[in-house]
Amino acid sequence: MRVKLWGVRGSLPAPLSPENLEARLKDLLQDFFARGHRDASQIDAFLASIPPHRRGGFGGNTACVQVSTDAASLIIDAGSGLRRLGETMMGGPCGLGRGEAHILFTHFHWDHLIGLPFFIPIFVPGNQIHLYSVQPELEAAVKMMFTKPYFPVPFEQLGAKVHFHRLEPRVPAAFGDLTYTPYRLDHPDPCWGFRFEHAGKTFSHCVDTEATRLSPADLGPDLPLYQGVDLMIFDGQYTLLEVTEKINWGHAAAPIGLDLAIREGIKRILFMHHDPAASDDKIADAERQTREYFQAYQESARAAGRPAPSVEWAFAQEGMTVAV
Amino acid sequence: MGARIVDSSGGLDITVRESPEGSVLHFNGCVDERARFGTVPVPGPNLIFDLGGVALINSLGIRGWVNWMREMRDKSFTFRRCSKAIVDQINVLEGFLPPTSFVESFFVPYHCDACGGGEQILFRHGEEFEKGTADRSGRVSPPTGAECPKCRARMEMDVIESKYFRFIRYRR
Ligand SMILES: [Zn+2]
Ligand SMILES: [Zn+2]
Ligand SMILES: [Zn+2]
Repeated sequence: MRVKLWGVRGSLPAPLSPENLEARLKDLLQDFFARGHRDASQIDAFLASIPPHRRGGFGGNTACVQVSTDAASLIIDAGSGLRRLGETMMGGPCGLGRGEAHILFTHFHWDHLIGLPFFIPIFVPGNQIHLYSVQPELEAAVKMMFTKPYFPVPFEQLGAKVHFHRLEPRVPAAFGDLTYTPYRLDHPDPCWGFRFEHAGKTFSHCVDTEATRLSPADLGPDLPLYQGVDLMIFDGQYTLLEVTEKINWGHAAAPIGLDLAIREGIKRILFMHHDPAASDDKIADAERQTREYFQAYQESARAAGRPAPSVEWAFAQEGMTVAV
Repeated sequence: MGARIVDSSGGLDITVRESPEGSVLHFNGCVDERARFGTVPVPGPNLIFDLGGVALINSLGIRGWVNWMREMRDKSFTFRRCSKAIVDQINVLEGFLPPTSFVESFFVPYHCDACGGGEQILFRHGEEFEKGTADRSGRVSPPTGAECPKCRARMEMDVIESKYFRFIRYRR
């Protein structure tokens, strides 16, 4: 399986402002010369030595994740990251009106929908667009997006044929050589995570969630979302302290995902749904805080005579591709 | 004075003892998602937390802990014998301790290079440390010549001082 992140921001797209971009360029140039570099041939090595948050940053597009195998490709959510994915797809059968796209929806908050009206394959006659959700409101939510005065092209005039599919909670569904199962997350409006399985590997998509149910007993029928997982994408919108203040806001913090991973033996985590109000520096600071938290936890575990857990994790950046 | 176990769900035991200085709550075990703080009776305005027995605290426990502290914001808190697991989180997570709290003492791990042994040494407020205030930065005065209980060799502090004592130096 390959997992590609087209959008990792939460709640609202967060493009870097011109002032911020200029300040960043200035900062990098100063750094470049301060290190004694004078030659353009030194640029690549210099940039490689700079942490990502001081270069391109974490990315401003909202939730859109693509899961593919050689035979199948599924898209999770239609946040603003979907626009670029659509442009890429236009280079294939979708550009010729012979393509198909399959999009699973976790829920219908704007940040998971707003890319759909800018998904070019949906306007091309001949394309087949399949949309899936557990919730019954899918068709109404999508049709509302393509309604005047919100959008100039009404749903009935879309070029592609759009099909709506209802998913059964906690029942595996097959798609090509992929199997996926929806499990309930903890969010103010019903939201579903997905567990994908292919060739003995498992990827779980757990966004958006506040992860208020944590113990195996509380998770009950939704515990399998976290069991035996090779890669988990988890909601890391806030810092741990922010999470304790923003009760019922529907989002979690990276240390919570790490603790679930430690308990359930999850091997690798990517944290996404970054707060749109957080600068790249602030996200990097939350990443540092998470590292300190994890180190302290490992030390305590060692001191208490338990195995120090090993989990590979990172804060997701737009454009990342991960092999599972 | 009687002690009573008020929470022993899962990995954490909390015992409450009444004393002239207030209610003393002894914590033993792991503070994690199984901890049910809401069921712990907290009589009186002064609470003393003895945290020497906390071996492990995770974020799932911290979330419950911080919310519990917030619910009791009208009380005054003394934190006694904080274990390393607790000190680490105090340092990582600003806000872990409520503003109306006072750290009375905490443990510092020491290591003996000679025999590989070690010991937790208690640092006490007014003795081995003094917390920073708005107009004065904190200080740490480690005991001179900490001896290994096994081989009598001199032990070394087993923490990164700039990190471990961050909460003391911090002015608030
Ligand atoms: Zn969202
Ligand atoms: Zn949401
Ligand atoms: Zn010794």
